[in-house]
Amino acid sequence: MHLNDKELLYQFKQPDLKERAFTLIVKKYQEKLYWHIRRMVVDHDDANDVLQNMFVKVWNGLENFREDSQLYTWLYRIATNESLTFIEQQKRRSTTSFDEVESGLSNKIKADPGFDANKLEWKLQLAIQQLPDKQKIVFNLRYYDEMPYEEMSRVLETSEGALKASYHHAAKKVEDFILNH
Amino acid sequence: MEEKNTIREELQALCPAVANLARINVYTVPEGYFQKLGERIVQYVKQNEEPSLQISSATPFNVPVGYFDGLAEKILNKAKQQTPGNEVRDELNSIAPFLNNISKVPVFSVPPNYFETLNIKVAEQKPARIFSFGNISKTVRYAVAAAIIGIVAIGSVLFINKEKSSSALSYKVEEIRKLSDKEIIEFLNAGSFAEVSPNSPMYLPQDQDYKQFMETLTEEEIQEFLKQNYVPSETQSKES
Repeated sequence: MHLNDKELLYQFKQPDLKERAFTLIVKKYQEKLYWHIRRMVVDHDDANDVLQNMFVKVWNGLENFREDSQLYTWLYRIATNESLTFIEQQKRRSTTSFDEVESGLSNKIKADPGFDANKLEWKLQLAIQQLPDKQKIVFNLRYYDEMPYEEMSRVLETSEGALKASYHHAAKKVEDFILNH
Repeated sequence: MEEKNTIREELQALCPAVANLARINVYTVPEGYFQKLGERIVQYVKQNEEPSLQISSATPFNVPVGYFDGLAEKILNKAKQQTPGNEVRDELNSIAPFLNNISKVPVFSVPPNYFETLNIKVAEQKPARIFSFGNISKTVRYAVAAAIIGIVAIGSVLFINKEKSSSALSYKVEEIRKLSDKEIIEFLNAGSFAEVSPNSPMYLPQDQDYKQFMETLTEEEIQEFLKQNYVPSETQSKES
């Protein structure tokens, strides 16, 4: 059964349908959100933790969700914030420098069982990890999710102009990295 | 045979002259006609078939080995590239065209059946109490934040050291009032009371009894404290 977001939200607000509606929301968006998070945190277990946490927040906050914004946008915003919080926590806990934390993510990529240094797809992942966190998110949302700037603006609460500039910088840096490594 | 006799009897009754005629086939056929009839009919049928059906199913053309492997994916990629109005692709073409040649298929692996078995453990959580700042302007919010921190700090003093004189409490409030906006912002950015140094006036114990004590504070008590101890930042700067 395919219910649209409005119907799902309506059902979520009915006590007897709440859990069922929530499960349907999770099923509907889990893969998109998982990959959004995974590209940020790289490791599967970390992505799983962040995904679980974000959906717990969704469970607690959905009751008060204002339907003047799209559910999809709201979920992306929570996933993005949770990913950034996770990365910040990693940085704080780390005794090493920020640069070393960044290279830690690259090392996680290289440690993936399927990693192939000669494949462009893997080089692309390494290149993305060189970007600052905010640029990384903008690049991923635009390149992989093909999200319009208008929507991204609502997710990241940043002006469309700033997002365009950020994406242009990020894409250039990624291309340069791949061509020079 | 019985049926044949019946027919003959019937004919005898109707027309006896005909019934008595010898049953000889008067027509002739070319010699050997029936021997080759089957082959001729087959040949005739073949000659009258649609011309295309006569062509061998074996194509005379060759294709490179493995041509059809991944052909669907290649066509799909090409179709996507040529789809008019693909804003993201067109945009990337103008910035970093090389990136358009890279497949977007995820390279990371996921445990088998991860998405099918994903189970989010949720539990109803008690929502945090929210206190309205009413008409307090944005410019003095940090000062209000400081006041709230003050409540928490005073609560800790009251709880930990109930026997101490009121002068100790006043001292604590004064100490917090002296904090600059910068220090308060730093404290708020720390994100947790646990990260505050024990030497700071903001320091709070983290034990369970204290947490229970804080939960017993009513909204009225906190609002009352805000009224009594709220000091706008402008006034603070003049005082200091």
